[in-house]
Formats: sequence, C-alpha cells, structure tokens
Amino acid sequence: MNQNTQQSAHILVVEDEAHIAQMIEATLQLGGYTCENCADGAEAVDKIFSGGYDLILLDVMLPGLDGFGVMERVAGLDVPVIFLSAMQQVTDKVRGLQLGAEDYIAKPFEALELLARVEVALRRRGKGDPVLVYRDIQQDLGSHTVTRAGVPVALSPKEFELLRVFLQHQDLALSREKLLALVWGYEFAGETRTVDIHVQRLRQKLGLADKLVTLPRVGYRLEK
Amino acid sequence: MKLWQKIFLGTLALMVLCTSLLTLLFVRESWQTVWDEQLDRALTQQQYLARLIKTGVVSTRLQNGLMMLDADAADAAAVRSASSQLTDEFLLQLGLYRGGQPLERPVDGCTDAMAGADDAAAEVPGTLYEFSRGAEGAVLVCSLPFTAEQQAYRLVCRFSVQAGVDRLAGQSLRLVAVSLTVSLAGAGLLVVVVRTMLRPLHNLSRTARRIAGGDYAQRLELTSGDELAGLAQDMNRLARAVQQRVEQLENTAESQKTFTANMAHEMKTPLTSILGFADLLQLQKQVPDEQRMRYAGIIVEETRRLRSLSGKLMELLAVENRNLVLAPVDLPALFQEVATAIQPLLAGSRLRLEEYCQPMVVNGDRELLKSLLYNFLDNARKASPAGGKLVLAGRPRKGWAEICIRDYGRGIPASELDKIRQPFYMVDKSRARKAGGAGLGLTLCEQIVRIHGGRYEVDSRVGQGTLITLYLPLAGSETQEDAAHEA
Repeated sequence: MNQNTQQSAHILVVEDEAHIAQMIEATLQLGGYTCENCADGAEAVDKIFSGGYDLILLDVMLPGLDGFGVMERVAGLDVPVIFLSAMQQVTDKVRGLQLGAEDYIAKPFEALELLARVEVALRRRGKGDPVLVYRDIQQDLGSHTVTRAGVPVALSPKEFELLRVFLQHQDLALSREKLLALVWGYEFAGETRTVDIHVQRLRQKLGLADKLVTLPRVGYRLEK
Repeated sequence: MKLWQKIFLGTLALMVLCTSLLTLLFVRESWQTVWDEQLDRALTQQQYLARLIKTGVVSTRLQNGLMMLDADAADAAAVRSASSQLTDEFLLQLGLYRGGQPLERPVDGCTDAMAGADDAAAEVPGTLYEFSRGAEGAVLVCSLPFTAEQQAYRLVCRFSVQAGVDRLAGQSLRLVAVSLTVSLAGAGLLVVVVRTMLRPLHNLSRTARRIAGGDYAQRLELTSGDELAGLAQDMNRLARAVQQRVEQLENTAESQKTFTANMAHEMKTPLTSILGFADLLQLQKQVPDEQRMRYAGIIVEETRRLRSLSGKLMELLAVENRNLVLAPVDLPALFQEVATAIQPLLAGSRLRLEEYCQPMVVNGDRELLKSLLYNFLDNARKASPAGGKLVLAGRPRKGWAEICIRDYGRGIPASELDKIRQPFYMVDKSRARKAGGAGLGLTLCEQIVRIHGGRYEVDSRVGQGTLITLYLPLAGSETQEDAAHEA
C-alpha cells in the first residue's frame, strides 16, 4: 500500500470458522500484511513454536484446544497475541489479558477496527511502520514530525493522527464515524463536524485538496 | 428465658410446694401427737393426785372415827394431803379450789371457770385445761373436778410442757432440713436430666443455622426416637427439599446461561462474516468482479444461516409460550401429512421414505407433533447419503405410541450421543451449517416431547445409521393421564 517495506508483518490467524478466516485474511491483505490461516488449536501451537510470525490473531472458541489453552502454551514466546471472541463476558476478556494477550477484539468487528488494533499491537512491539510516505509527504510516527518536500509542517495532535489514518488506509472509503472512532476513540461522543474541520485543515496545510476527496454521503478517501 | 430454665424453675417450684405441704402436714401431725401425749400425761398425773387427796381425806375421817367430816375439816384434810405432794420439773404447781375460791395459794394462770365458779350451774362439771406461754416456757394448766365428803373440789395443776415443745421444734427443724435437702438434690438432678434431654436442641439449632447460611447438604442425625428426633427428621426433609429446589434453580440458571452464551456465539459468528465482507466491499475503491462475487456469496450464505437460526429460535419460543390445547390426533393421518410435507426436500436428495402406521390416536397439539416428526425426519435426511431410504413407523405398545424414525446414513459416534441434545450442539459443525442446521432441532424436539409427556431414545452406529424411538402416551390410556398429571 505504501512504499515502505517494513509494513509487511506476517500474521497467523487461528480461526475455525472458514468464512471469518477468509474475511480476516482479506482485511489484513488490505492493510498490507501477509497472513497464514490455521483452524486447530494444537496445530496453531506447533506453528507458533516454529516461529516466523509477528502477530497472532487467536479465536477463543476452537475445537479441541481452545484459545486460552493455546495462549497458555505459547506465553513464553515473545509473540504478541490478539484474542478474537464472540464471548462478551468481562471475565473472558480479563482472562485473555491476564494470560498476556496484547488486546481483545469482540466479534463482530469492523475491518478498520481490526486493522487499527493490529497496527497498534505491532507498533507497541516496535514492528510497526515508523515512517509513512505519501508522494512528497513523510510522516515520522516515532519523532511525531511531518515534512512536505523536506519542509516541516506543524500539525495538531489530532491532525497528526488523522493524517496517519489516511496514510495507512490509502484508497479506502473512510466514513466520518470510522474516522471519529479511529482518531478520537470509540468512546468519544463528538460530532462528525469535527472530522470535517480537521480534514479541511489537513487539505490546506499539506496541499491535498484534490487527493483527499469527499465521497458524498460516505466520507473521505485519500487517493493513491 | 431459656427452655431448660423454664422447665427447671417450673418443676422446682412444684417440688418445693409439694415437700413444703408434706412437711407442714407432718409437723401438724407430730404437734397433735406430742400435745395429746403431754395432755394425757398431765391428766393421768392429775387424776392420780386427785385420788391421793381423796384417800388422804378419807383416812383422816377414819382416824378420827367419824361418820362424816364437816366442810372445814375436809378442806383442811385435803389441803394437807395436797401440800404433801412434791412438785417437780413437770408438775410446777398444784392447788385446791372449792366453790370458785382457792383453799390455799391460788395457782398461776387459773381462770374463774377453772376455779369452779360455774360448776354450780353445770350438771356435770368437766375437766378444763388451757395452754399458754410465759416466762417459764410452754405451760399447761388443768382443772379436774372431784368430790370428797360430799364436797365438790377442783384440783388445779400447772404443768411445764416446754420439753415436749422443744422436742417438737427439733423434729420440725429436722423435717424442714430433710425436705430442703431432698428439694435441692431433686433440683440438681432435674438440671442434669433436663439439660441432657434438651442437648439435641443445640444440635438442631446449630444445624438449622448452617442450613440457613446456605450449606444445604447439612443433615441432622438424631436417633433418640422422641419428638426431637421427629423434628430433626422434618428438618432433614425441609433441607432436602430446599437443596433439591436450589439445585434445580441453579441447573436451570446454568442451562439458560449456557443457552444464551451459545446463542450469542451462533449469532455473532455469521454476523462477523457479514459485517467484515460488507465492510471490505464498502471500503475498497475498486473490487475485482471475482472477489465481489465471492464476498457477496458468503454474505448471502451467512445471512441464510442467521435466518435459519432465528427461525428455529422463534419455533422454540413458540413451543415454550404456546397455550397448549391437547386434542386427539390420528397418527396414521399425521404420518401421511408429514410425509407429504417433507417430500420435496427428500426428492432433492433422492431419498425414499417408507411410512406405515397402525391405527392409533394420541392426545396432542397437531402442529407441534407435525413439527416434531418433521424435525426428526429432517435430521435423518441430513445424515443420509443421496439415493438412500428413511423409515417412519408407528405401533401401539403397552399404552404408548411407539414411533420409530430410522435412517441408514452416517450415524453418530458413541462419544457424541450424550451431547446431541444440548442446544446448538452439532456433531459436524461445518457440514451441519452447509445443510442449514442451527443445532436447535433436537432441542425443539425435546421440548415438544416433554410437553406431551413422552420421551425418546437415540440408538446410533457410525456408518450404519440412526434409530430414534419416540414414545407418546396413547389417548385414553393410564400413561396419558399420568403424563398429563406430571406435565
């Protein structure tokens, strides 16, 4: 999706529902990740021990050895794990996190939510993308700086985050609600008008007027 | 106040009252005896004295050789004779009276009546006595009339009865001491006995508290065979009833929780695919045709799965909330109806249904029974290979309608047999889903069979097929009434 080769993290998806596995795979490919699928707990343990994965997406309800069982066995390895579960009990979530999981995503989830959580987990482990590049714009996530044609551009924290979301999801239609959720957080009860104002400022500061297009009734898209 | 204290004090009061009454009675009796004895002794001695005086007067007359003594001479003889009598501890004083006047010294405590003031009026003068207490202690004054030389005299004596009174007091004291000792000993014994008998009460209340605290497995062990043991038995029954009810409630709550959790999972799984793929279609600027078709296909398939799940859930809800009206249902007719209804489905898998039923009638809800047979047959269809055969057969047997649903399909592994009745359980998940299963068919069947007071058994061998034997109570039979009663 962008020119930085560091983005291609390899992810193991442990999920016994074939359709969900396919969906996750397609979503991860959209985020520029490569992935591998596995439908069985015991097999997943073997695969994780053989190494080569930057992140594990682990379903809790698996035939045979369940997700918690897998987690217990691979807890010694330093591989970040994100649980996926249809169970919404808080105890399940707590148990998952206590076992050392990086995050816990409740099903059903949206594609962008999955990508955002994966990205956060990878970045926390230093495997994320430190510098995002789009044409002459460079966004350094490590030093929190943005340059356009080598000239630094001053952005507010929310503008910076919004730019990151656009750069990471180029060519995708992002609704105002999703942008609000991804930048301001899922708990933020703000108005979508906030998004419009920030998009407007990004366009001005970075000269993206014709690339950061408005999709009627949907939201925005950063064209490649 | 505690029970043992009440029993103890009550019995003690009664006992003290009894012993006191007894003592009182006894003291009275002894008093009478002692009194009689003292009086007897006094009177005897007085009569003896009177005789002596009389003898003294007579001997004086004889010595003087007279036919008769005159009054003054007789008086003098009597006084002389009386004064020669010695007084002692018992006899304190004695004196003679004639016509109410003392002949010599008057006796202390002598009344006019005793002195003989009223004797002239009386036909026969009587013996008089009086008891009194004074400085000398208890004193008895007796007055005895006698005649000598045709003169009426009265001999008045004063006796000391203090010794008798002292003896009586000593006796009474001993009696009181004995009765007190007996009362105290009885009380002590009573405390021990009462407390021993009431000890099981402590056990009872301790156990009752434990049961109330939630330890419903607690039981009392009392073998005394009295009312307390009976109470313990009652409490055990109570605890058992509570325990059973609580377990029942817990089981119900547990199975409801499991049901809800499973249902959430079964609903969220297709939802996850649908949301994910729809999202992918919406997010991307351009989706290749092949991908779009695949995503849309999956969305349609998963939506169907949700539809089938919600349909089954609705059916289940309907069975649970249905106002059940049992009416006679003719089974052969019902079989034909079900066979016709399922025919298109069977034709799709090129399956043949053999159906026969002996004439019989059950009481039931026609629609639910149809749904029951349909569901069993649908399960049989899903397990059967194309071109196979299914059997639906019915016959009456010992008050029950015995209905067999047989397939010659895949069969169920023995290890799975006890799980298949659980809601949302599927032996082969992916296969069941492809066939449109939601894992609720047998749950539905179970509900319908239960409200009809029937049961069913599953016999299955891997590779040889499955036999479902369903028992429903026949209309008008005793089993029907029993089942209705139980339901």
